[in-house]
Amino acid sequence: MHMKTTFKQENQHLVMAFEGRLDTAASTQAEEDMRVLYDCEGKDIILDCTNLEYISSSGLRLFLGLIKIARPKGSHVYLTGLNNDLRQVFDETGFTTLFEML
Amino acid sequence: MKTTRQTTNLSSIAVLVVAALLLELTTAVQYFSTRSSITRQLTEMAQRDLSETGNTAELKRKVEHATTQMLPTIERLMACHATDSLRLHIAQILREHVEIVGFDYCLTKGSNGRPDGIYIYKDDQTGTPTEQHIEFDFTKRSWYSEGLKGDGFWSEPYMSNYKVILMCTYSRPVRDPQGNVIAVLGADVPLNELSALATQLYDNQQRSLKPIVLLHVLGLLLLAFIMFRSIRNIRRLQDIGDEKERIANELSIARRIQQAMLPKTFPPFPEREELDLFASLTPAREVGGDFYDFFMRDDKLFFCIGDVSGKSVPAALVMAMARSAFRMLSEHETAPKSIISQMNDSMARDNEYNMFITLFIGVLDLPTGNLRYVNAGHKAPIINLHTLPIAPNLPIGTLLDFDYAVQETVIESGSTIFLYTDGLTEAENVEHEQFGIERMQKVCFEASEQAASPKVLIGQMTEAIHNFVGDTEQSDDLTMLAIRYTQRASQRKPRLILTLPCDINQTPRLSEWIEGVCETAGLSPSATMQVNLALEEAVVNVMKYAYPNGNEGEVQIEATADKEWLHFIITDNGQPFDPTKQAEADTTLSVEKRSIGGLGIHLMRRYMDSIHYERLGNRNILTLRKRIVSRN
Repeated sequence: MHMKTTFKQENQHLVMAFEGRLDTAASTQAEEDMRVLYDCEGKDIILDCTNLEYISSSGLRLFLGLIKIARPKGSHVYLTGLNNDLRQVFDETGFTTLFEML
Repeated sequence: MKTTRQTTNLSSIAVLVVAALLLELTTAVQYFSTRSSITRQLTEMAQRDLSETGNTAELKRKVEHATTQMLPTIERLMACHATDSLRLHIAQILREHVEIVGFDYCLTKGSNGRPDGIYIYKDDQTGTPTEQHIEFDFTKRSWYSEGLKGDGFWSEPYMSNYKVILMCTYSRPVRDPQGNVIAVLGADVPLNELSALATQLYDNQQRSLKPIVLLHVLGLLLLAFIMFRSIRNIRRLQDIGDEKERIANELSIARRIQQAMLPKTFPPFPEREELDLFASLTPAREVGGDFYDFFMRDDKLFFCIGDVSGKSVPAALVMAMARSAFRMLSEHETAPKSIISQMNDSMARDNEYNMFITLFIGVLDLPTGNLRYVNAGHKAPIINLHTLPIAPNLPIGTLLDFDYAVQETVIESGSTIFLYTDGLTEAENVEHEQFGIERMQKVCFEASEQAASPKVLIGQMTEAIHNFVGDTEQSDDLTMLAIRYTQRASQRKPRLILTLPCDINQTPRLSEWIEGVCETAGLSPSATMQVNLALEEAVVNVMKYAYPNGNEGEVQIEATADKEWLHFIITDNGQPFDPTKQAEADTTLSVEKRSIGGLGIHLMRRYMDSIHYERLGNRNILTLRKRIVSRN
């Protein structure tokens, strides 16, 4: 597949790394992968996008869905490693203001 | 204008003066002729009276006697230069004779060496003798000239110089001791009865003079009034002339403004090889109710031609409104039905003056040649010598909420669409014969034989009408619009087409294909990502919403590129679905308030330069366009 996620639990953080293209086709699997983050219990979440090449609105929806669940539980959701093109997509959609950028 | 007004004033015053002078002259001539004729009549009567009446003979004798009796005394007093005593003597005699009203005493040589005389007469009120120097030339009077000669002369009756009475004068010469005549003594005898009559007649004339003078003054006043009125009217006419000139001036400005509203640069889209277009509008008056318009948006040519009921200014106002409405609406609306319905409703709502417009609106999709049109009671356009089929729709402005029928056809490459207003077919010659559809079709046919451009076609049509109507005045606005459509060369190149089944898991295939297309077109990786994102959103939308029941259809994506633009046409056979009508996500809301949807259309608009939807038959057609920017 074009898309791969890696989940890691560190001391106080939950880290998920995205690799490849998070398009509509990949979003079904990605949604499954991201369920693990829903049990954050107040721990901060870091979404590592260093190797993310592409994201469409389906992927953005997953991110928005996550933040809607995690924030009421007292968790912060951080984004890191966005390349310029993706950063622009986040800017265009107003998502930059929803997340805390590392 | 000022000089003209002054000239008019001067000539009016001249006329007034001449008329007044004429009036005066007539009155004067009348007055004097009346007076002289009365005098003549009275003199004749007096003569008759003098010769026939016994009383008169007695009177004459008394006067002759009195005068003759005076002479020795007078001659004696003259000899010793006792002038004062002479006057007293004459006055004394005058008192004694009631029949004599006065004496003339005239020296042949006075103190200045010339004849000089005095007149001693009875004062009207007191009867006291009064002396007066004779101012008129008495030497011409018969009583003087004849009096010098003989021994007593009676003059003809004449009108006194001093009062209004007829008189006769008996005169005798006065001699010095040597017997030389040195003076003439004249006794004035009034012809009493006759005089009374004369006085009466004369007074009558005087009295009748008053009404004459009064009438005269009234006449002058009337004349002045007439002149005043005519001057004022002339001025008013001039003011009307000024006003007329002003209105004409304003109308010509209005004409320029109206003409400026219509696109007049031809060819209007020199960069579009597929399109050649020409139009002409000739109003019958300064301004008119015909109009046409066209403009290009998103690879579509929007055009219209219309004819407002009526002519001149009212029609022009409605025309301006309609043309603006067309422009405004077609900036946003693509469907001709939507454009015409809104125009109709806005016009029909407040249509106090029952104005209406026959209107044809066409939207020509340039990549496909698809023409969608709606005809609101206008003349059917001609396409390739055939009349375009038209549905029976009402002119706009007639009925609120009227359901306009939209029609559709595909224009073949090389076709010419010719639109016109009834000013063309109904142009009349001197015999009231109309230009008619057949003559028009003939010109269209000839132009098509020569493969004439729209400009040439309209030129030939104009010439044909001029030849037909000759010198007959143009009675209606005349408007023509010709469009020639040639499908663009690039469209004939092998197209890049990807057909996907309705399955959202196919997006990786789409990505691969898009990367290839963008690579060929020379797009940068960033731009490629943007195109990919926009196309994915568009295709996924189709899969989700045009085919809501699952994997039952196909989505076709076609890519074309020219030097400047990269076009993608996404076609499906699903349910009507217009993504451009979808609400966009509000990207400024907080996490809690943001909904999940609306991101797709938002990204499509962000990353493509234009996005366009149309429903053609049972297909949804979405055209997206991206400007090609070089890698560097």
